[in-house]
Amino acid sequence: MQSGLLSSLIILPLIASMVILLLPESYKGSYRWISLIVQVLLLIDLGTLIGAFEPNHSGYQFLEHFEWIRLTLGKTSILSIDYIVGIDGLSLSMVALSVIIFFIANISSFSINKKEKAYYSLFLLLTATVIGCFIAVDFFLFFIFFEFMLLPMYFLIGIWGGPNKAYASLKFIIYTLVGSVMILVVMIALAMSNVDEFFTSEYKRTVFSFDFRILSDQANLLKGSLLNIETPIKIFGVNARDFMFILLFIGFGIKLPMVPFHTWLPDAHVEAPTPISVVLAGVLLKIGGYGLIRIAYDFFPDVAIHYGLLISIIGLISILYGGFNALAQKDLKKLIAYSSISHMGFVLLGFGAFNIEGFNGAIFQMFSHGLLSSMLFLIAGVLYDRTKNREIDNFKGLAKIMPIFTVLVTVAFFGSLGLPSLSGFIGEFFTLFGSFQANTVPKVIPILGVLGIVLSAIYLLWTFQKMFFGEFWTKDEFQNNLTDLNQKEILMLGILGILTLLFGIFPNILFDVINPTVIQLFG
Amino acid sequence: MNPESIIFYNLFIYLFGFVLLLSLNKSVFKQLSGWISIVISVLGIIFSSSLQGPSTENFNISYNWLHLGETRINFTILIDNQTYFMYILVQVIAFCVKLFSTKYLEHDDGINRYFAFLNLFVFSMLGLVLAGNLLQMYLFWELIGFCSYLLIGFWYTKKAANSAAIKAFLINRMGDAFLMVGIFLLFLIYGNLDFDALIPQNINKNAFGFPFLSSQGLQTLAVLMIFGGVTAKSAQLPLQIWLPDAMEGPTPASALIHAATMVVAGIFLLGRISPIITPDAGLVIALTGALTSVLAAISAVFQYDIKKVLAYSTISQLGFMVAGMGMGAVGASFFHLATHAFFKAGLFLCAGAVINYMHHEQDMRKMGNLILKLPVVFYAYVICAASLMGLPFTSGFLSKDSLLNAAVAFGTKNGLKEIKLLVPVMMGITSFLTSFYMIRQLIMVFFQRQESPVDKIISSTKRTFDGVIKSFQKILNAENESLGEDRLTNFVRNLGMFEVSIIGLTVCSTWFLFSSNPFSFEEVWFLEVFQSEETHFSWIPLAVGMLFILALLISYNTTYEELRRYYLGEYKTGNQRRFYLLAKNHFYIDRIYKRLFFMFVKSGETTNMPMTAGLSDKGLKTRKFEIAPYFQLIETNIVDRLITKISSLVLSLSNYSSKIDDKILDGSVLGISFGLKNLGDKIRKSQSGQIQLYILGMVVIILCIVFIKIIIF
Amino acid sequence: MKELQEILSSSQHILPEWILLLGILLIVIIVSFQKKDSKWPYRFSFLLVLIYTFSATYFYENLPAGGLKLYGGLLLVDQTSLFFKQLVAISTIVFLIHSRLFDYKFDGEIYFLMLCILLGLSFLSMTTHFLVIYVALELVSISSYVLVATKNEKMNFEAAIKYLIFGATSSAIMLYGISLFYGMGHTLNFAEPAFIQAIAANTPLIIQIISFLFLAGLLFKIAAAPFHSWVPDVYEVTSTPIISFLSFAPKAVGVLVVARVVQSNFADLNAVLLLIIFLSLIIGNLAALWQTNLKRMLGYSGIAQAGFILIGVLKSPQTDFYGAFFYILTYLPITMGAFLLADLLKNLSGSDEMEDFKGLGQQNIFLGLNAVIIMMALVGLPPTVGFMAKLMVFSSIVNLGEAMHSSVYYGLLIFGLLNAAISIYYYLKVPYFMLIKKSYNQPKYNNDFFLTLVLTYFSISLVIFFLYPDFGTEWVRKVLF
Repeated sequence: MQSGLLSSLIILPLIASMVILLLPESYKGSYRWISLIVQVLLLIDLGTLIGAFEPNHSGYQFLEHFEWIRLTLGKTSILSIDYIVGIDGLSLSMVALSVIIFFIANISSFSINKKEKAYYSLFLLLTATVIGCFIAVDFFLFFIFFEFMLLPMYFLIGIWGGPNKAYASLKFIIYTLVGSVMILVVMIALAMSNVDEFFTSEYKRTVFSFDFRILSDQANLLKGSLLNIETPIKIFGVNARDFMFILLFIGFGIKLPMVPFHTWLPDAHVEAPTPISVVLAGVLLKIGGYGLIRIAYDFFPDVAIHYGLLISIIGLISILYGGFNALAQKDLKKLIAYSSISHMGFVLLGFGAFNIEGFNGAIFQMFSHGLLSSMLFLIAGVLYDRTKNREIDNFKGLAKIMPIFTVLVTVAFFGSLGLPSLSGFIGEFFTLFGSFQANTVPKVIPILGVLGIVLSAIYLLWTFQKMFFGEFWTKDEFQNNLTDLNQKEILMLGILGILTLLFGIFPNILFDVINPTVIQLFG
Repeated sequence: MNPESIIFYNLFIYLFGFVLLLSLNKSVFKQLSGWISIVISVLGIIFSSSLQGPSTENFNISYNWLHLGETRINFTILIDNQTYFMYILVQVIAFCVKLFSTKYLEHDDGINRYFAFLNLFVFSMLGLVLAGNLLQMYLFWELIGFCSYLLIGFWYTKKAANSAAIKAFLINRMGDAFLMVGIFLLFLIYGNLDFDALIPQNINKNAFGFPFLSSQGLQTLAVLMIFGGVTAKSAQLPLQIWLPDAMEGPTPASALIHAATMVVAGIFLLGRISPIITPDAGLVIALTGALTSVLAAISAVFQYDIKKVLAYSTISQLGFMVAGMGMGAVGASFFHLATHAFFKAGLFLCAGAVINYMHHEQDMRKMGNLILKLPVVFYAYVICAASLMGLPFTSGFLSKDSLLNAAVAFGTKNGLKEIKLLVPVMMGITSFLTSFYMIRQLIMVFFQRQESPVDKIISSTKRTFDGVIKSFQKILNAENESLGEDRLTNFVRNLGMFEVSIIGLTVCSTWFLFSSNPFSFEEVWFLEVFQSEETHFSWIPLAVGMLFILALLISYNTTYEELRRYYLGEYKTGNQRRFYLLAKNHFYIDRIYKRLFFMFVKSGETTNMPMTAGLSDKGLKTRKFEIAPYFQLIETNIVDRLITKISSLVLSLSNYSSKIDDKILDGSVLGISFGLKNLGDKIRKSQSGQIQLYILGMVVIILCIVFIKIIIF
Repeated sequence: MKELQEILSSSQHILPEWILLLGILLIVIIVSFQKKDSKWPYRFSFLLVLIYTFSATYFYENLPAGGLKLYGGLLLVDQTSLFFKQLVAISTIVFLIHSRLFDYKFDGEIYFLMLCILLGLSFLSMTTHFLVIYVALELVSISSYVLVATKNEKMNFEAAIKYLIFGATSSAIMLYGISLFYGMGHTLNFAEPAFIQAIAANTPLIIQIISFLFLAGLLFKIAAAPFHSWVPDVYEVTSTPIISFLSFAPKAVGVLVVARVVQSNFADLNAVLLLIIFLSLIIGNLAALWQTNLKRMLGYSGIAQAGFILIGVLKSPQTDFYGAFFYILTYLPITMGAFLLADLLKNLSGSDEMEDFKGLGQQNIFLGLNAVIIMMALVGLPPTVGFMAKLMVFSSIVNLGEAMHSSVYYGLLIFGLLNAAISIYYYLKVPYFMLIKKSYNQPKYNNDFFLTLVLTYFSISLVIFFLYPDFGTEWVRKVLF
C-alpha cells in the first residue's frame, strides 16, 4: 500500500509551519486558523487510516519505503538509511492519541497572543516530529524525529513559559538530550551489527541497516559483531546486549519519566503554557513507553526477559513515590505532574510483567493517561486563565458557581483515580493484573501497586473536595473572574471526557487494535 | 419480549433518567424531576416483572467485552434466583424511596441532581446484580460506591457531609484494593473470572506464585481477600466505621443505599462465591460477622441520634447476614437480606418523616409524644421495629429464626466446637440488644414523658395505651366510609407521600409476603428456592421471645432513667461513663484509623475532633501531610539535589579547568584567583615572567601523559 | 645526474604549487607598488586561489593507485592530498568572500601571508617526510604568527607572542622527536619499509613516547589538548575572517598528517591518541561552558571538535579514517559559517559578548533560525550535517571496539556522546539570548538582507548536506588511502 496517507501526516504540518513562517505579520490573525485547519485535516487523515486499517493483520501496514541515504563507511561498508513509515496496532493507537491531543491543544492555544507566528510554526513542527516518531519504521528516522522534538519544545517552554521558564526549559533539554545520547549509542551499535542481506548482495559491500524489520530479526545479526548473541562481547564486564538494553531503558525512562530521572517533569509542566503541558503530558511522555516496546523489547527480547523484576520495582517506586509527592503539593499543576509520574509507573509495571496482559494494559494505560492528563492540565489551565493562579488553597466551593466545570472535573478526577467505566481503570487494572500473573515478578509488587490506586484516590479526592465543595470562597481579586466554562473549553474537555468514557466502557476498541501487535511481539 | 431486551431496556431507562435529570439543571421542569424518576421506576418494575420468575436453570447471556491474548473477559448477564429477587427488591425499594423523596426534598435546589444520582445508583446496582463475572462485578461495585459518595456528599456545602463522603469513598477504596487482589488470586487459581467457572475442575495447580501455600490455602487467602472488599462495602469489622458517618446524606438516600441495597452488595458477592468458600475462610467470616453485630449493637444502645441508632443496627444486621454466609446458610442470609431491606428501609423512612416533622432535629432525647402527631408513622415504626426485633407475624421473625437456627446448627457441628459456638452465642446477645435499643428508641421518640419518676410507669403505660387506642380508632374510623367527613379528610391529609411509601414498606415487612405460616420459616418459599435444609431447633423462637421480654423490661426502665438524667443534666461517672463513651464512640475504632490514616494526614487536633467528622475540613486546613512531606523532602533534597549537584559539579569542574587554563595562559599569580570575567585586564597585566611558567605547565602535562602511558598501557 | 633527472621530472608534477609560488611573488610586487588601500591585492589573490583550486582539481588525471612519489619520496601526491588541498583552497576562498562581505580593510600583506599559509599547507598535505613536514609546518606557523600580530593592537601583539612561544616550543619538541626517530631509523621518510623495520627493533613504549613528542607540532596546529592553550586568546583578538580560516585549514591538514603517521603504522598510537582525545573533549567542553564571549567560546569548542575529529583517526584493521575525513569535510561549512554568524552578530550588536545578542533573533526571525541551525550543527543535532559527521565518527568507534575487544572504545563512545550532550548547554546560549531574552536597549538594526542571505546559504547547505550526504561520503571514500 503506497498510499501517501502516512507521509501526509508529517508533511502537512511541516508545510503549514513553513507557510506560517513565511506569511508576513499582517496576516497575524490567520495563523491559528491555518494550524487548526491542518489539525482538522490530520483528523480526517486519521479517520481514513483507521477506516482502512486491518486489525487482525499483525505487522506494519500502509508501508511507504523510499531509499534515502547510503552512507558510505569507508571502503568496506555502507550504512543504509531509508525513509520508511508504516503503522501497526501499537503505533496506530499512539498516532490516534497524538492527533487528537494536538487538535485539542491547538484549540487551547487560541488563548496565546504573543509572537503567534513563531508559536504556531513551532507548534506545527512539534506536531510533525511527534507523529513522525510514532510512524517511523527506520531507527534513524525515528531518532531524527525524536531529537528534533527537543528544540520546538525548548522554545515553546522557553519563550511562552512562566516566570522560571529558562531554568525549566534548559533542564528539560539537557535531561532529554542525555537520554537521547544513550539511545544514539544503542542505535549506532545496533546498526553496526545488523546486516541487510539483500542489499549486501546487491552492493557487494556489507550494508548495515536501520530498518526496524531487520533490526527486530535476530537472524540478521552479523557474526562476531558487537551485539551478536552467540559470542557475547563484554563492555566493562557487562554483556553488550544487557548494556545496550540498560542504556535504552534509561534513555526512554527519562522520557517516560521514571523515578529517579523524573525531576525535569514537574518544572517543565509548571512553567509550560497550558497547551504545551497538554501536549507534553498527553503525547511526549508516551514516546518513552512507545520506544521501550518498539525498540528495547522488540530488539532485545532475550535480554528484556531478565529485567522484568527490576523494571517492575522501578515502576512500583514511581507509582508510590509519585503518589506521595502528589499528596504534598500545593500547586494544582505540580500535583497533576506528580500524578502523571505515578500513573506512568503503572506502564512500567505492565512492561515488567512481560506478558500479554501486562503489555496490553500498559499500552492502554498510556493511551488513557494521554486523555486524562490532558484533561487535567486543561482544567488547571481553565483556572489559570481566569485567575492567573493555581494554588489549591485559593479556591473553595467552585461547584456552586461553575457547575458545568464541576461535572467535567468529576469525570477527569474520577477517571484518573481509576473509577470503572472510565478509561483509567482498565489500564491500571490490567497492568496490575498482568504483573500479578507474571511468574518473574513476586506477588508483593502488584499488591503494593494496588496501594497506588488508593493513594491516587486520596490526593485527587482531597483536592477535589478542597477546591469544589464547601461554601464558595476565593481571594477577592478572583471573585468576578471566575465564570463557568465557555464554549471552547466545553468543547475541549467534552471531547476528551466522552473519549474517556467510550474507552472505559468499550476497551476492546483499543485492545482489538493493539492485541495482534503485542501477541506478535511475544510470538 | 425476550429477557435480553427486557434487561437492556430496563437498565437503559435508568441510565437515561440519570442523563435526562442531570441535564434538567436550569430548566423549568426541574421540580418535575421527582415524578419523572418515579415514572422511570414504575416502568422499570413493569419491565422486570415481565421477566420470568425464579426458575431452576440459570439464564446466561454474554457479550464479548475484551480479550487480551488468551485471556477473554466477557460481559455476562447472569440471571438466577439470587439475581432475580435482588433485581425486583432493589427496584421496589427504590420506588418507595423515590416516592418518599419527592416530598422530602421538594424545596431542595438540587432536586434533579438528587434524583439523577438515585437513578444512576439503581442502574449500577442492577448492573452489579446482573454481573456474571468478577471483573464486571467489581466495575459496578465501584460505581455504586461512587453513587454513595455522590449522595452522601449531596449537600456539598456541608463540611460534615463532604468529610463523610470522602471517608466513605476512601474506606471503600481500601476494600476495593483487597477485592482486586482477591480477583487476581482467583484468576490465578481458576484461570477465569466467570462465576460459573469457579469450580474445582478449573483449578490449575502449576501456576501458583506461592510455593508455600497449598491450593486450598491459596483459595482461602483469595476468599478472605474478597471478604476484605466485603468488609468495606457491607460495613463489617474492621472497616465498618464509614457507615455511621454516611448518615450525613439525605435520609431517603440513606434508606435506599446505606440500609437496604448498596450495603448488602457485599452479602450478594459472598453469595455468588459461596461455592468456593473454604471452611477456614467460612469460620473467619462467620466470626467477623457475629463480632461486628455484637459491637454494633452495643454502640447502637448508646446513640442519641435517631439515624445513628439505625445505622449501627444496620451494621449489626449486616453482621448477621455475613455470619450466615460464613456458616454456609446462603438461603437464610439472603432471606434476612430481603426482609431486612424492607423493614430497615421502612424504619429509615419513618425516621426521615420524624426528622422532617422535627425540623431536622435528630436528637431523640428532644423528641417524644409523636404518637399523636404522626400516628401512621408510629404504627409503621412499631411494625418494622418488631420485624427487626424478630417478633412473630413479621418477616423478621422468620428470617432471624432461620439464621439463628443455622447458627446453632453451625455452632453445634463438630470440629473447632468451642470457637464455632461463639457465633450463635454472640448472635443471641445481639438479638437481645437489638430488642433493647429498638424499644429504647420507640420510647424516646414516640412515647410521652413524665416529669415525676414516681408514677411514671403507670401513667405512661396508661397514656400510651389510650394513645394507641385513640389513634387505632382514628384510622379504623377513617377507613370505613360511613363515618364523618372531618376524620376522613383528616386522615387523608395525614396520608402524604411519606405515609404512602412507609406503609408500602411496612406491609412488605410482614410475614405473608414470604410465608403462609407466620410461626415457622419452613414454609418460606424463599428458602425452598435456595434449597437449604437444616435441623429445625424449635426452641429458638421461644428463646428470642424470652430475650425480647427481658429486653422490654430492662430497656423500659433504663430508658426513662436515662431521660430523667438527661433532664436533670446528670452524667454517669467512673467506669460506667468510661464504658458509655467507649460504646458511644464505637470502641474508638474510628479514632484508631484516624491515627493510622493521619500518618499520612496528620491532624493537629485529632483527639478533640468529633469522631463522626472523618476528615473534617477544619482539620484539613491546619493539617499537613506527614509522610508526604518527607517524600517532598527526598524529592527536593536528594533526587533533585543530586542532579543539580552533578551538573554543578560539572560546572565547577569546568570553572576550575578554565581557571587552570587562565593560570597557564596568563600565569600571573593574581590571575589564578580571578575567574574568567576580568580576563582582559589580566592579559594586560601579564608580563614575560609567565612564559616560563606556561612552558613549564605544558611540559608538565606532556610528562604527565608520558607517565600515565607508562603506568597504564 | 639521475637525481637531477628525477628532480626535473618531479617538478612538473607539482604545477599548482608552482603557480602559487609565482603568484605569491607577484603579490609581493603588487603590494609594494600599489598604494595602501587598493583592491588589487585582493582581486589578484582571489584569482590566484581560483586558478590554484582548478589546477589542483584538474591537473592530476590518472594518478597511480599508491600516488606519485616525487623528489625521491620527499613528496607524495595522492587523491587524499588533492582532497585536502581542495578543502584548504575552498576555505581560503570563503575567507576572501567573508572579508569582502564585511569589507575589512586588509593590507596587501595579509593576502600575502594567507597565500604563504596556503602554500605551506598544500606541501604539508602531500608528504610523509619528516623534514618536509617540519619545514611546511614552520612556514604555516610563522605566517600565522604574523597574521595574528597584524592589527597593531596591544592584545593582538600579546596573543601573537603567546602563539609564537607555544608554536616554537611545540615545534622544538617535535624536532626533538624527529631527531630521535632519525637516530633510530636512519631515514626521514616514515612511510618507507626500511624505516619501519629499523624502528621495530626498539621497544614499543619508547616508540610511542617519541612519536607522541613528534606529534606535538601537529597537535598544536590541530589545537588539541594539551597544546591548546594559545587558542582562546588568539581566537578572541584576531579579526574574524582570518581566525575563521585558521580554525579550519591548519586543523584539517594537521589531522591528515596524523592520519598518515597512523596509517604508516610504525607505532601503535591509539593509546596516546585516546589520552589526547579525552583531554581535548574535557578541556574544550568544560572550559567552553563558562565563556561569555562568542569567539572565545568557539575557540574552546574548536578544541573539543579536534577531539571528535581525532576519534576518527584511531587505527584499527577495518577503519580507514572515513570518519575523520568526513568530519573535516563537514567541519568546513560548519565552523566557517559559525564565524560568519559571529561577525554578523558583532555587526548588529557591536560586541562579541553573548549577552549583547539579546532579542536580535526576535527582530529578524531568519537570523534566529540561522543561528539555531548553525549551533545545532556544532552540537551535532539532526537535521544538520553535524549529526551525520558525529554518526560516522562514532560508528567507526564501534568497529574499533569490535576489532580491539577493548571496552575503552565503548567508554569513549559514551563519553564522547555525553560531551556532545553537555556541549548543547553553551552552544544554545546564542539562540537563547537571540530568541528568548528580551532586548532592553533596541540595538540599531541595519537590516542587512544580503548578509543574512549568505548566512542562510550556509545553514541551508548544512541541512541539505544532512539530507543528501551521499556525495560527500562517496567523495571521501574515493580519497581514502
